[in-house]
Amino acid sequence: MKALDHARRGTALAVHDLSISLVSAAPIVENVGFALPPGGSLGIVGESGSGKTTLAMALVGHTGPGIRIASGRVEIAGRDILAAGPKEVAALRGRQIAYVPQDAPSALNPSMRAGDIVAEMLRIHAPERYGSDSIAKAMDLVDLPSDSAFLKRYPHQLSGGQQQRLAIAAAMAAEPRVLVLDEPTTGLDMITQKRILDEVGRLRARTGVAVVVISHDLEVVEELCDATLVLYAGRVVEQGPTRALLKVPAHPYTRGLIGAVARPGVRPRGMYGSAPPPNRRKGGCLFSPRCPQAHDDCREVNPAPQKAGPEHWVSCPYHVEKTIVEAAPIGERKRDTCEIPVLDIRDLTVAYRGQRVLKNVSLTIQRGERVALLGQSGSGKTTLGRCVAGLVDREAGDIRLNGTPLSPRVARRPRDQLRAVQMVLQNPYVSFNPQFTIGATLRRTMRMLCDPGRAAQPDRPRLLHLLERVRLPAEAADAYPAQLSGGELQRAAIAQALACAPDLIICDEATSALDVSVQAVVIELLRDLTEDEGVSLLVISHDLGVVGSISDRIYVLDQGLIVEHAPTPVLLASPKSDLAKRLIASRPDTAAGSTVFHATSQRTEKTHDTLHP
Amino acid sequence: MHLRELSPSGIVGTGIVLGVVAIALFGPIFFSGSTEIVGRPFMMPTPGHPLGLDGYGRDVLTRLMNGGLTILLLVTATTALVYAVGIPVGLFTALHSRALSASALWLFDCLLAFPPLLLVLLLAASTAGGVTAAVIAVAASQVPWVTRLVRAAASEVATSGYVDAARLRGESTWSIMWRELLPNIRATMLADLGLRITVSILLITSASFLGVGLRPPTADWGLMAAENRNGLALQPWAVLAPAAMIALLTVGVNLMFDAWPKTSGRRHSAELTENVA
Repeated sequence: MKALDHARRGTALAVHDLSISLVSAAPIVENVGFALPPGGSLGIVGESGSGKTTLAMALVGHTGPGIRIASGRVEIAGRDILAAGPKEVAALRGRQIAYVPQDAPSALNPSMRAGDIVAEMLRIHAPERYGSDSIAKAMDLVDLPSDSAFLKRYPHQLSGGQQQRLAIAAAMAAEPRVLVLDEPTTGLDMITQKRILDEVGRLRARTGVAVVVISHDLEVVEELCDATLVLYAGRVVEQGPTRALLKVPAHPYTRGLIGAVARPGVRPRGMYGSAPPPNRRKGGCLFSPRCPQAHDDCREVNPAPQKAGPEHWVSCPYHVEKTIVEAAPIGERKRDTCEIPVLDIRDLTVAYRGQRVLKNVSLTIQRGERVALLGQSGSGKTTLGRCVAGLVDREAGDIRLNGTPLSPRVARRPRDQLRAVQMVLQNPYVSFNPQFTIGATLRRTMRMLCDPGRAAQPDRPRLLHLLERVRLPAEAADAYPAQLSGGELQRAAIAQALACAPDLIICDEATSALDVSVQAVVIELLRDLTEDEGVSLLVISHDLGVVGSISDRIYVLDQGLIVEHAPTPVLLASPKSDLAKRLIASRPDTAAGSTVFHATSQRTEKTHDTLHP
Repeated sequence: MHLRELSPSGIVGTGIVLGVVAIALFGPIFFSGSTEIVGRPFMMPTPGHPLGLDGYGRDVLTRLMNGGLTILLLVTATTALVYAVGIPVGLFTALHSRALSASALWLFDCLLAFPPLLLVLLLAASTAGGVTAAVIAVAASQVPWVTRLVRAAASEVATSGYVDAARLRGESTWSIMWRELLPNIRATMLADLGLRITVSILLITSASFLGVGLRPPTADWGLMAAENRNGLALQPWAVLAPAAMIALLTVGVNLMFDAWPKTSGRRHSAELTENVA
């Protein structure tokens, strides 16, 4: 299937010069245009705040409160859905274009049964087909069972992957020609993600539906889409055939995004800074403040799209100067392991509400070593981290820090142990008390944890030095948490962990709430800190890319049991356990055949088409 | 908090409350002799007595000006007592859901089973029936609600990362309660405060009306309404005026506190993000 040859085959969806703004006229999305042929697929890639969800909703003729369409057309089946009256919009939705919202679990009405959710779509959008046959057909499309027992289940009785597939089944029930999928895999574990991607691929092959995929994840788009459009601060910075765009990215932002993707065996490169919000977008190229190759005129002149290849457009006049280099592979580190380990967990068993979530887990971390704990959701990996931190009680087993037993409860630990074990939590937005400035919280941590000799020193210079170590400017000290972005907050959380020379930092999914470019910044920071300061790291994650790019050694946790542990390169090259094999197979970059993310992996290259039957 | 951030109804409410409080506080200074008999019982308003006289021939306006202070003091005392018990217990039980917390909550749930007015009568009757008994009784009927609310709101906050972070740096339960939990449930508490004050006003005045708590000849809006209800047909002002003051205070308090939570809490501009980024 060739992308963008819509001239011959007509268009399923055409967007002309679409601009969407806040009621205050601040632009959210500016001058977006694309055409999608019947059966084609387009990926819209952007980080949080790029306007991608606003754009996706506009495709089905919907705008949220406070948002309005400033100009442009969205043509579906030859009609402009933005100019259509309510009745016509209702007729277009469902039958011509359907939308699968982000976060399926919260999009599905919890009081409706699975069958009724699909039936309702039919009743409203295709009453002539209403009936159990059509419901069964829709369920069959996404490989969900259509027996009455399954149709009677409520959404909470389904797994995350099943919920997502049910949402897709409902959207497909009235047989639309275009399906808009908003972040279809976010929040799902790697193996389920892979399954959903395969499912959407099969769906396209069976029904010929055209797909628009909104995602922050380049790998998802690579897997699903013929063409890709990169959105930055509401503007299209690059647009073209996916393969060309990812293989020879022209815009510095696209190159930065690709370099920032965390993947095993590679050091991701972060992009500092963040995209300007709608009310702060001025003239010139909006990416220029973050751009490594910005010229003086970039800040003034609004870049016009230029041709970078066949059907490949880029909004950067300097795209020929390619300054961002490939992400660097990681060299192996040697450390002696004869000393007493920083952390020594032996036969740890933890029960929660009568159920054992960890069974006889043993794990050691040497000084300066970065150890990853890899597991699916529900494997008990978070419990392990919280148990080491003393936030969860254990049933049996022994945890030693530098050879000394750690008390099970944090409240019983002496100050020196509190100082030694630090934790960076998953959600940076709730890591700081919103009532205090970052500086106030950091100072309090220093006062409580550092030894008295150090506490006697003046606070401010030490605070600023601490912020400097995580590359935050001095202003951050006086900022309230609500004034910082997720990436900045997570760096501040790392600063808090570093405040008093810790021995071990536990990172519990510390990057999963962050954008790709910011995630790379945090990974880079954690790597540098361990190398420069000899801090040990316990990285808890479900993401093989993160784990593989940061750790020296990996433990694989499956349903409370350590099923495998090995040095990272060994485990990636020859996984022994079933889970590790499946996780590795679920990633486009570790599995054979990826067009872009294969560059630094040592696997044999196969053709891209083998992934898309 | 700036006045200009308040909604119109919030400004009206605040104005009403300030007016009623001013009358209650400064009335006694300008109008003395609330127990003096100046004429015939239930005399209709005259230029000298714009609200007429009550059942004992006392000036209604003078008594009205003197009758607010007791209510204000009793309501303040009751509300303070309710929160002095409810907040610490609620915060503590949100952090520790062990046996002690469970039994404290169980005890409070038993109190919830009693209709508040019955509880007031029961407690007041079993003691001497003084003002203190009325305050304690009204507070006791309110404490379980506040505790439950504080606990529910704080339980949600207690799972936040910053509470974990506080425990990890070795903060005591006490400092987690006051530093991490309480400031972050302030909006919920403020929204509830209006309702608590209203209910306290109603129960305190009802207690006075029923003859529990304050005793005649004290000038008190609740008592005034009770004393003069027999003469409602003869001289309605003796009942309507104090009742209107109570109603005004209740409505004003509600309008004021409904508007507050919307405007309180930290609102930050995105100003700094750009500099920091």
